[in-house]
Amino acid sequence: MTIVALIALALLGAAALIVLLRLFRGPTNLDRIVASEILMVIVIAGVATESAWQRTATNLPLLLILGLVGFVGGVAVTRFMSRDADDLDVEQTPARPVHPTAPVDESTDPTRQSDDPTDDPTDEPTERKSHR
Amino acid sequence: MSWTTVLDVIGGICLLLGAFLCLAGAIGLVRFPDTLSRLHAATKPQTLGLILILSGLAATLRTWSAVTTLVLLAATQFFTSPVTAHLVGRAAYRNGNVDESTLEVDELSDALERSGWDPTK
Repeated sequence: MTIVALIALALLGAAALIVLLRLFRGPTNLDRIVASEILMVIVIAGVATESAWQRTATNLPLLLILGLVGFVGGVAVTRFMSRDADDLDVEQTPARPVHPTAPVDESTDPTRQSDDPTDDPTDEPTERKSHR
Repeated sequence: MSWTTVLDVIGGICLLLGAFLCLAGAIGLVRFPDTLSRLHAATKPQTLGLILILSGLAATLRTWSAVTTLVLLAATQFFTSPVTAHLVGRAAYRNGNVDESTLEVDELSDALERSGWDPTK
């Protein structure tokens, strides 16, 4: 069992190094998110291999927590990343203008923005955001 | 040859196969050219590799509490990894990271065009 665990840990270590290469190089941040998901799976597999080696059930809650944290982190960062591409010019897509006294629902209602005279024609981020 | 030896051998084989699948997924993650194809490579260790490693651990530990915890973990992973993959694919498509000349069937761009979505914005 020791030899099997050592071979499995060597494979997992090689896999983690390769994934770190993609995490470092990855042209967009979405590639980095995918790579970090795989890194989390490799960490789970490594902890599982270690506890199979030692024959202890002590690490099982740690496995469960690692899986859930990986899911929540991946979803949160993906939602954050899907607002804009990192290849696009940020200056072309200005932040959505928010009037200090405007109600919150105004920006999501496209009919009210057209007859608002104070709103200059920068409603494209709103339209862009509504399709995402 | 007793049952414990058989289960140990099965567990070791499952651990090795799962670790090999993790390595294969990592190699695919580096070698594949596109975000969507990297996503395809990423699902191999996420589902089959993880379930092989967890079943290897379950065959090694051989207690019911460990088996139920591992089944819970595998079910959680099976339900949550498609959610992340869907979000990543959607964000990749809408950020323009998808090379549309490499797609065989592309129903999403027609539907997005009909909905009035402009990819240049």
